[in-house]
Amino acid sequence: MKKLFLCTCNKTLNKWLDYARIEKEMGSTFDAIHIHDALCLEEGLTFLDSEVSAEDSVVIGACTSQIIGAPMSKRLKCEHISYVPLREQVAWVHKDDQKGASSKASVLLHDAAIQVDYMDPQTIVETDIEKKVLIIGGCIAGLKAASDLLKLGVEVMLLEPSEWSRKSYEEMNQFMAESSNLKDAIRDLVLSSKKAKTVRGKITELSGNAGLYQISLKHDSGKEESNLVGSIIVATNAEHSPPPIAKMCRYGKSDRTLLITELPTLIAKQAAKDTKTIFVAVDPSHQLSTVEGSYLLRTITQASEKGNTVILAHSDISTKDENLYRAARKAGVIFVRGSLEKVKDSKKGMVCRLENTLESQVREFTVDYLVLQTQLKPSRSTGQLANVLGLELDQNGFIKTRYSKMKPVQTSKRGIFFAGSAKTTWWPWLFNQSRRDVI
Amino acid sequence: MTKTAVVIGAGLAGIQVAQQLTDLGIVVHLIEKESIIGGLSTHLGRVFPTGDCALCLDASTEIFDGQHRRCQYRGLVTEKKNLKLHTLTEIKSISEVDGNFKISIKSQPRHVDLDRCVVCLECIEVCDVNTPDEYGIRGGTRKAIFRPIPQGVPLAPLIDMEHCTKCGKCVDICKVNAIDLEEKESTKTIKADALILATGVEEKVPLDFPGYEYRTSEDIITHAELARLLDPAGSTNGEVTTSSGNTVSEVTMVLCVGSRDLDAAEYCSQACCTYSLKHADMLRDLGIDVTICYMDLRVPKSSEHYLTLAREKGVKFLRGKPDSVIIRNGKPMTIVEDTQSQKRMQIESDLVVLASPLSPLADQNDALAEFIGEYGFISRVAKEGRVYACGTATGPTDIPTSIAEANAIALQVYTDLEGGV
Repeated sequence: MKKLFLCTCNKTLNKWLDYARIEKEMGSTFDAIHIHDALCLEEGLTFLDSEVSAEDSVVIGACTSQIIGAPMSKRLKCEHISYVPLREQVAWVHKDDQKGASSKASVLLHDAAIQVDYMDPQTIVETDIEKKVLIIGGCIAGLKAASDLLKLGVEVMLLEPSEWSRKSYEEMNQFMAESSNLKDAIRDLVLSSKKAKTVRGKITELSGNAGLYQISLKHDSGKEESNLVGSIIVATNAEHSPPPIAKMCRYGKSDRTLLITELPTLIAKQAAKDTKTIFVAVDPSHQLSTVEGSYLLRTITQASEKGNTVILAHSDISTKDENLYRAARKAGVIFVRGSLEKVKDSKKGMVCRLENTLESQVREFTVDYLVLQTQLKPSRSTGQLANVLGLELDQNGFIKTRYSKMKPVQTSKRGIFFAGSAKTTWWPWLFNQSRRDVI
Repeated sequence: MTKTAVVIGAGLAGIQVAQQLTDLGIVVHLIEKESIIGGLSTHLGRVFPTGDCALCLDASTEIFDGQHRRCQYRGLVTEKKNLKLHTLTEIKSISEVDGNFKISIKSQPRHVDLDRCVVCLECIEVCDVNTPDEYGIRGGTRKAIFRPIPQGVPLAPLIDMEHCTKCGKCVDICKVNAIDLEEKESTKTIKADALILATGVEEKVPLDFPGYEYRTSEDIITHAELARLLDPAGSTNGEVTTSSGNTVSEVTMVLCVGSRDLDAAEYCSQACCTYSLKHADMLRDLGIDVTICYMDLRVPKSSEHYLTLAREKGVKFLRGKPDSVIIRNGKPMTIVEDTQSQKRMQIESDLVVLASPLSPLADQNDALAEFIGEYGFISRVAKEGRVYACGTATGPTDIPTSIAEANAIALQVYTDLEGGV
């Protein structure tokens, strides 16, 4: 039977709406109409218990579905329910017009009556769920995810990029933290994720749904295999790439131009007395993220502490740790605001012409090395991977979050998550979300 | 045996960690000192990076009933059996006995029974008391029985006994008997296996920063106050006005007021650049001119579109930290050196908005003193295997990072309590 329940909500809704008229107009649409007070309270719910059977379809006209929906959906025995938020959509907005409000209410209730007719019966679908997670790694976050999942008793398969080694984690993640901290963290994580089945190679095909994905892997050795996993975590790395100004700065053409990632090696090799003048330039078109900013500050502080003269040309620098900024200043780094306009390779050194907006003048520095801040871009494999997995990418080519505010680890596809934001000290949390989505 | 965790603070991080732990089968007591949950985000109106209402997130429980968005917070307080929310509640003391915590809490009476109230709000209609509204910055009044913010959760009102005359009108009109004028404060002791501090931050009231005449002028305001002006449900109905009631046509925003400052908050408050840009965008939509004075613009990747939008909409950017904001001819005047042109500028505007530091709330409660670290923030694991912190309690940050951190901590609490493999 098709039944209509109208809630008077502490005897208020029947003040704004002409329930008698509505009852009359709805008479032909519904088999039964009940008007009751406070349906969301225990006495109201008991009333519904006694009036509603499993075969009924029910329309409930009440305050808002947000208040009434949760307690009711748990209590009502029937499957076909439609809520009409009479207070929210009618009474509050048409307070001075009882006639118009009642007409609108009738229309909404009538629509809901049609809606319940077209509802599909709920069916219980049973699916097998594979309690196994594939982590597509490369980033330190993949190791962390593996280690956490193993701790929770979940079987883990870790797919690492071709020709990958433990050293690669250090090399590829060096910008994230001070190198000694990073080494320790990686050592611990490698150890605690040992039980993961590690495969080097790539994923070539995906089918299935959250809970039961079928994947095809191609190993470095050429071997191909097919596997079932419940959920997939993408933890590929970001790559440092030369900024747009690299060509103008003769990167790749002159030995004097380096990327910031190459600077630590240079400092390490440097003899104590052999100090240099180093000009570090940030591409003004690139907004630095906090990890990039922190890495830049740490690196130039080290260079300066070695006795080098370091000049940093920049616009905005982001860092989570304000003290890195202070340390750089203390170490003697010269900060200049401005952008690099022209670069010339000469015998004496690299001549860098800087448009210094701070002093509204053009200055030239002749330096031994020109170091360019890199841009963090998704690794080359991310695009292909997204293609294979069917994931959406954002405008920068990183994997797009489903809802960046509350679901920062979900991709556009259910059961596929990503880990690894450029921060080592926290790890996007996966298990519960995967469990909720998968199981 | 079922484990119990106590989460202190029902801001976004506290809600998230509580929700995740309850899903994992742990009993959670969520303690909130205000009458509504949501923390700082409720004060900031629309929140980034998605620009929707902080309190109507459709994100957490993906149960849609076809046409209506389901708010996660409402779902949280009504749907979860093993989650107990204590509003208007403060921590009195924490003691540790045999590896368990005994946490004693004290709850102020709401005088409205959350299990009975159907939120018809007739009681607010009949109340005769009118008292200044703490949330309305341009005047506005509220009743003695009231809701601090209309969309605040729990939705039921509360009674402010300081102003209530006990006339009994609300009790009479409430046919569901939800109101009890004689309700007393109550104390309770909770035994818990883990403690999670999600105490968050507040926007500091910039009374003590020299140079900014916040104390003397109603036209020099903070972002939380601006958000109230911009809120369509606020006392000005979303109209941005000056203290004398005129419509605003020019706004100057000052970033890093007291942040990154060795004499005030040494740290960077992280989120203010983004919410200043968000507010600048909203002001531009109302046709108001905006100038932002800044040192560095620090916008996280997930919110970069706010910067692009602000530039497209014609927000003026001026690199330079103002020396002072003074009042001249009744209007605020910002004195700043434009470091790009090296000119000393005097910018007159109708309203000046200060990005005051986000300062930790944990150090306002003595019971938490032993966990507090540098600048009043708490480290993620304050006590191995026992006490954790997440969200802005560990340092100011934006919402996505807070949520990710809350998730991470929930996992750690779970593995620590239930023992990993």
